[in-house]
Amino acid sequence: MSLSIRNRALAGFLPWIVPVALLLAWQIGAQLGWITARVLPAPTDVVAAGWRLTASGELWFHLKSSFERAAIGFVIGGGLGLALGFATGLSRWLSLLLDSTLQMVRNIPHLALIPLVILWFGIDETAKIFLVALGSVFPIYLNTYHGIRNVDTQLLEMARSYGVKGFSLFWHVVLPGALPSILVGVRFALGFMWLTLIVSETISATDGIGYLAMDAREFMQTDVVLVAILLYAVLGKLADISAKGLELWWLRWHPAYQRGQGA
Amino acid sequence: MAKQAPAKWGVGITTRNLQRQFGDLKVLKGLDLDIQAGESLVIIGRSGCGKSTLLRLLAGLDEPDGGKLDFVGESEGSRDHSVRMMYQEPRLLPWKTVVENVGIGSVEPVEAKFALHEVELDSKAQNWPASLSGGQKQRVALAHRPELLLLDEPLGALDALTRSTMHRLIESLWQEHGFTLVMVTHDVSEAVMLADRVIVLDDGAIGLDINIRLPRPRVATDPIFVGYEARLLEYLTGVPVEPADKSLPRHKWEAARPDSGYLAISN
Repeated sequence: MSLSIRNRALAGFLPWIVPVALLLAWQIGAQLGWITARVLPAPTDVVAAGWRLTASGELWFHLKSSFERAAIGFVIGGGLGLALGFATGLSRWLSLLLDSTLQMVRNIPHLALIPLVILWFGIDETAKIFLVALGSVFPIYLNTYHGIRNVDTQLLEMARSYGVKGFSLFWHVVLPGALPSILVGVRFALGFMWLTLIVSETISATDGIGYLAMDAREFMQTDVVLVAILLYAVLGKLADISAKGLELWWLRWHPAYQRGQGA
Repeated sequence: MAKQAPAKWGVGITTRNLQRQFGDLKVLKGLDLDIQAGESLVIIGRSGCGKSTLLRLLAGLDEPDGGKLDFVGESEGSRDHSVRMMYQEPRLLPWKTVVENVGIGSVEPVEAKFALHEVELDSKAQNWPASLSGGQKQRVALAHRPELLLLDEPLGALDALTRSTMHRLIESLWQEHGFTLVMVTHDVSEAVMLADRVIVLDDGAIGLDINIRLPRPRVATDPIFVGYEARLLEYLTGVPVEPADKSLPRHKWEAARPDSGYLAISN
């Protein structure tokens, strides 16, 4: 028993050893001058830069722009992916009509379209939102389509024999059955969303976290560049946590997501 | 026909020359069958004899290729009677609680709660189906008062004790509510236990049609019960079955013979 408690303490402690050691080495190396501030400023300097940006309000300004782009692009792309997935998943004809085309377009890396997107939309806001939307449309489309196609046919049959049909069948049987797969799509799409955002904000922008990083590079402010990179990490993690939260709530019926409720 | 339970709810069914084929394989070859409202009919037969196909047609899960299928007292083609089906494996929507599952197909919440009470699952009303045992899941399908209850070998996966409890439960619900009960099974003993009438489907047509005239609740060790079982097994296997208890007076054993209601329809 005492051993298992000690093991648990150890298990909580072990994952931290490497990052803390790296951080210490970094800090010591920077302070002793082994690493020049231009390559890698000390962690304390990065924290100080982060604090400076927060206090001046600059950080919030850029964060807000990036968040808005991400959200608008994701809603447009995700909504479109969801709608297309429902259409092709529910209708055999629409699936025949659209799916092969969508699968073809999906295979084009969306970042390869950047030159074209700049020609179409210029370098302003529309281009960035377009890219983010494009990045999030396919993961959601694919997983929605797949989810709907894989709803348990036996459950569909049961519901139909009890007289459930039309929208009611979709809402109570098809959608919940496809939801685990759709949420996988959402998590993939969130990953693509950040990736696209970083790239599109470094093309040309006057605000946003990507701009913050590119601007700092011009002035060799490596500490600010690091703050921007860390911000992306934090935002990505937050997006993932919220997607997981949705899973925990919407899939609470699923044995894999049940905590506490005994069998 | 002497009926044990008066038909309060049940729907009657008539089929004439009912046909269903899959590709070149004719599964039902012109079936004529009358099921009385409130009757308990058990269909047995070998694998592939068309019994599950017939059940699916009755459930409206499939359409016949020819012939007529009518529900007595309803205008032609309409299906506004309520149906519940118990499948081989329990089918519950895992994302709905037990009481919500009972409510599928527009059942009032209060009614659903009461129906759950009848199958002794009140305490599980708010649980997810994943937390129920196999027998409890199957009981949820019974928590309903349909006009037609269809059972597609639903108890095969359950242990003997649970199966026997389920027989009693199905019987008491049927006696209480008087719905029409149509069950498909391999199990001759289960058939004799529950049926007013047993039909043996043989190659897409009715091979044997006998009434089970035993008081309920039935006891599987009753000599007449055993006699019915033997009669059905004999037909299914083609091998004469000796009565289990030879000390039994001959007339007792003969009583179980198809003296009445026995029709052998050949095609």
